Amino acid sequence: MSKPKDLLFATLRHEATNAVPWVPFAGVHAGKLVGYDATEVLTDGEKLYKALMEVNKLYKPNGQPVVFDLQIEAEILGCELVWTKDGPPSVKTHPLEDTTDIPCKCTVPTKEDGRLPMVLDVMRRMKVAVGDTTALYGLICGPFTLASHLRGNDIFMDMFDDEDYVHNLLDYCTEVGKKICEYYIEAGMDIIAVVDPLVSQVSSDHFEEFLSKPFTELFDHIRNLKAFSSFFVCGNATRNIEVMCKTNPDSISVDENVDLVKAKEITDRYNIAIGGNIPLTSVMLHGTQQDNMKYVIDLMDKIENKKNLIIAPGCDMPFDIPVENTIGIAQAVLQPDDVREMIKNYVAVQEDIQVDLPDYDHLEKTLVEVFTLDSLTCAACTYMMGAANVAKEHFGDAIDMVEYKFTKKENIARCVKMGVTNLPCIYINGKLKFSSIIPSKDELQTAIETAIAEINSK
Amino acid sequence: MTGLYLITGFLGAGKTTFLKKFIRQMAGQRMRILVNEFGREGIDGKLLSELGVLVDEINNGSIFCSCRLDKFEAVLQDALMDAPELIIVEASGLSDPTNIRKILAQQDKFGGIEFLGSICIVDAVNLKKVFDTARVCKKQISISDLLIINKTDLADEMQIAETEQLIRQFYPHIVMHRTSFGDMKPQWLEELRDAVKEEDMPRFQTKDLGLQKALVTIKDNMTGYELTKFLEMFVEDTYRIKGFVKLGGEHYLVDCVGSMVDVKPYDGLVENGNKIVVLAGPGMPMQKSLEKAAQWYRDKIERVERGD
Repeated sequence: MSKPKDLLFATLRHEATNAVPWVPFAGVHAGKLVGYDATEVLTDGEKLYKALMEVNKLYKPNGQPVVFDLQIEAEILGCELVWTKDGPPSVKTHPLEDTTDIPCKCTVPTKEDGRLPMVLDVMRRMKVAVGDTTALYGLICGPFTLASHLRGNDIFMDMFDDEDYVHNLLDYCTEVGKKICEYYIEAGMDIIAVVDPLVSQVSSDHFEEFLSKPFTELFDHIRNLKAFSSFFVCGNATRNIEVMCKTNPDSISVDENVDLVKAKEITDRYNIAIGGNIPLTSVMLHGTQQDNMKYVIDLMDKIENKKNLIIAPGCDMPFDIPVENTIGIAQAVLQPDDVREMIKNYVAVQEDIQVDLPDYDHLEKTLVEVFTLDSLTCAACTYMMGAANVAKEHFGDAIDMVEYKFTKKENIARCVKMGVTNLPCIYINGKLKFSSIIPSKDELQTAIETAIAEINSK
Repeated sequence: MTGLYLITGFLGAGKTTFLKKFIRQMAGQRMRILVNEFGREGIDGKLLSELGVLVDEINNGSIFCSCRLDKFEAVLQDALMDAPELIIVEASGLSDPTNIRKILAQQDKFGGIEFLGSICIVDAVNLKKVFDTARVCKKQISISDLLIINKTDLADEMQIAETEQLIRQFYPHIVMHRTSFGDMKPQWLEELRDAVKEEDMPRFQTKDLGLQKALVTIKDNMTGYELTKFLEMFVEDTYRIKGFVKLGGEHYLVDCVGSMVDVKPYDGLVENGNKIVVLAGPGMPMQKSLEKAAQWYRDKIERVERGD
């Protein structure tokens, strides 16, 4: 059986595949899965590692980023950062604001600088832990965004007033980028994403004048180091898709501002893979699990040629995205036919299937009900079911246990009647006890013991 | 109801200085300020505490960017819980505020907000430098109800006139005033109120501008979403796009002013053969970007005819 990462590699090699790979860009959001805030996962290697392992376990990715923070390089080069609990830090000061000197090449970061030792250590550990099955992304700050971190607001004036200076500054930032690529690839990263949100802010003429050369150099460099590359932008980069293709990356990532179907027609002409572009706020953060599954199915159905396609969030996932929404997306990418059926049935079954719910108020024995998308294929559901099975072994005949898979119509009707909205989850005696996050053995046992005591006291 | 002003303007135009003075003018009202930028000069805490103003900061990118929008909505909803009389939002210099009306139109979240208008600050000397290098400039100007040309003390008359001409070329109807040090005259706010009231009035330009005109015929296999994305590709190089289309049996009214793409379902009959009119001023690169967009959607666009 091939490994999840092989599907992504085949896509990046532009081969025809029989499925579509999925890459959850869980940066700070990874922390939410294990109870850490954004600052903790971006500064503490141990916590970052633990969070990333949880992403790998719950979201079943073909590929995943190790750290999503475009300020790592800027921090090393003297930008002061402002930290926050629910997002990456932001740059507060710009060391080149009042000078047009170009920094000396000797200032290019080394592996010992800033947070790089922590990041490289986590990369190596992730490589050992999941590198055999999962492709790992190293994300570097793109040259234009790094230049604006260093220079500040004036970079846009400079493009008008002092073109040579901008070219020289971008050369320096490209050197920084190349070095970081080397460190990350050496630490085991399979794919380097050059993340440059500011690219969507310039016209395609300016892109060609200032940015074509730096990006082409970076992607050549990554290719020479035997890794794959991704050109990662956010915002309405529609006008620049074509000039981005000409810099020759293996793949491009876009967000919801771009019409993915039309953009893919362009990237297909250049035989470059394209990834995206699930809306972060309207769908992932505020939508239901069904909304998320439907969005992904519709997106995949709209794209006829599935070669060169990667399904991913439009950008770094907001910290608070409900876990079940991402689980739903993973399931939709993994089992599109089943999920398409589920969505169709979800709307259809509400009228025509009668389900009798147990009389929860008069149960004689504690009833544990596990609702899953499908415990065979959905990773989170497998773990949820596994936890329940361990509990069943422990309690034996003292409890009843049943699994309801969402793949069956009558189970969908049951979910609707029960008001179950997020899968996987565990109900005990008709009450929701665990949703999406898998309980530990002790947590589940305690919850069941409490439920048994309640029945006995009646 | 809570009133809301949006302050926009490119990096370095003088938004923060303007905001400080603007807050003083509004003194006496219960206010919340939402700042989406870490400028070199933070808002003067002392001044704000004297006025009893609460400041929320959102950094790390534009509040209108897809990756920060969640935060913006959350902070705005949180501010509303306080029931202030006024909320002032200062958007980052790199933000594209085109969607502000769409965001505030979410009745379930922001039903308690009355949008009082968008004020855009531009730098008299530097606007022409960033006008072409930074695409958000046009977007910020195009959605503004009042445009203030700041820092005129640093510019000579010729520079200011050039800046005004540059803006007029793209946005002939915009209400503009000159100032320096971020000063704002109270009567400008009156004009702003009138401008917002007239939002739904057709703003149509007469012939004296040497209009560029194009007529685009849309095939009915285009979806509403695709039409929106198609218009987004060239809307910032136009000042008006208008027409009725019938797509897959659904009727839509296309009505764009400045950078705002507006495609609405329409109940009436559509009998003009799916034509939309595109207007731009002299020197605007409308033809080039329209051609590029038509190329992207070539299987959905019947033809593009140049008007005279």
